[in-house]
Amino acid sequence: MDSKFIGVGAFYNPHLAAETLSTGDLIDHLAMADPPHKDDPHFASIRQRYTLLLHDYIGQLADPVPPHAVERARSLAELYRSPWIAEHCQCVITQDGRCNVDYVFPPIYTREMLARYIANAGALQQAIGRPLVMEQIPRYFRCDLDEIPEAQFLREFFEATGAGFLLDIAHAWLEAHYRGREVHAYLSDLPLELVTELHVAGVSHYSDLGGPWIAPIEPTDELLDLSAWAFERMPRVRGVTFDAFSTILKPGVIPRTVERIRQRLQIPAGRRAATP
Amino acid sequence: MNSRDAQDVILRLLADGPLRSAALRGQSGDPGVAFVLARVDAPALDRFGRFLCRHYYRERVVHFFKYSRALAAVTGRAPEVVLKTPGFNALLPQLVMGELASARKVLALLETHLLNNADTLRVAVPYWDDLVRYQGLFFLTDALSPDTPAVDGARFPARAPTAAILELAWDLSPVLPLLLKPFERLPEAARRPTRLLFARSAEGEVSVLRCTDALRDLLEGMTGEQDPAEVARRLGLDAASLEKTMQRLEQLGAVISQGSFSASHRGSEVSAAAAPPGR
Repeated sequence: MDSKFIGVGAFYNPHLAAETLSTGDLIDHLAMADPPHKDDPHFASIRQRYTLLLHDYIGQLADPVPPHAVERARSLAELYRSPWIAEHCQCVITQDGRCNVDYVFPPIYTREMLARYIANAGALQQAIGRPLVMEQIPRYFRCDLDEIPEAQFLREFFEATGAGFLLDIAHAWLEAHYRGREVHAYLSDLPLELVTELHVAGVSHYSDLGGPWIAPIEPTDELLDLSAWAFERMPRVRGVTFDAFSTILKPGVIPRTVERIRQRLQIPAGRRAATP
Repeated sequence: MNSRDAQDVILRLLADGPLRSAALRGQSGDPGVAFVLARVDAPALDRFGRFLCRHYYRERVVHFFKYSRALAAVTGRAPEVVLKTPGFNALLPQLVMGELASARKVLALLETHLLNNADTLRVAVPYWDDLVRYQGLFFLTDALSPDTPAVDGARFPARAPTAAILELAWDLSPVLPLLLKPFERLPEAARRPTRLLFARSAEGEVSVLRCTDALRDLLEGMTGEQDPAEVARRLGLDAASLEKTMQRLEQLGAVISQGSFSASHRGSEVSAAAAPPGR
């Protein structure tokens, strides 16, 4: 991806690889949540055809990323020729390694945590030699242990590390929803000018939560409109990605959603969109 | 308490149902837990913990019971249905994500759902019981902690606690990939005794391979107290292929010579066996 090109893509879902490969120039890039399976018959074609983005298979930035994880990330980034690498703003494994919630979950937003994220991200970027982007993660329940707002945590992290912001619009909608904030006001607090990649997806109702949460489904028109509103405020954005990675995804969903994103954000396929 | 430690308390509360239940009753006995719980929306944290637990087991049931899922149209018993039953809801406060004992409880529910009153189903799918046992051991092996030392103070490589042997009446290996493709007639398996070795690698990958008598005997002799070469010699095994076999077994996690750790939970099936030393 060159600096003026804004690509539109999706996540690589191996069970839909044949369909993905048949979509012509609709899809510019594929985010890789998992390494390719050794028996994946389509990966060689996928790798040849698309820009691949290493996404969330690195390590949590709350702690130093261990050497074997750095090496794994470096190897995958080389395999993918990934223009940047992405990790979540999350802390999901205890320091003793005994407990892993095996799901995205954000850190407590404190000065101490911020210092840890900055130090560990700096070391990671130096070791990998590629730009890092970090995706914000919503929190379902109120936590009074925070010292600073999420937006300030993110802004100071990006400014200190030079990393880019991966804004997930569904995550933003959920965070605003569960904090009781108007979503545009919430988004306005975030460092949108530092966004490198935009994730677009849907949300779904979960009975355990009694409300909406992250889901690998198509975005509603409301979420697409919100994506477009945020997109207009992102001068550095280089990629927009339909964030759905699941074996429950049915054929047709990815091409239809990428087409909807292109139409709503006015990024035609096969041509370079004007940078906002 | 610093904020990284406070984060750990939140993670433990989310992942550990019994700890969370005790904490919500004010009975955790841990001042750190009480400190954190007083500063969060506790009922919402409880809901999120339940959500995470259901999600955690759904991911694993979908992955490890994929053959039963593929046969759901034939059997009418989709395994993931268990995760929405009152039985699983009642189990939620007792479950610790990633813990072997919890995995056993979930597996017991799955086996009840898949195997009880299944005589008609066994006529339709003769190898149904073996298929459920195969998937169940995959599910359990994933839950075994890979950083458990084989033998304290072991001087030699030893069989890993995560290495398990399964004896089946049906040879499932050829039929498994066929179950995941569209079929008009149920793929048939050959009825012949089959022994499989399940192993979990340091990277968390669960592998399955055929296990010969020689390989079984070798593994059973590897207590960590004896040189594997001596075990092989005693069993009359081919010394030339022993080193290669040991390397492969160590890669797969069936044999360990030192501790390891992984947070990965990916699983796969390896059809090609580690070359077992011949007699």
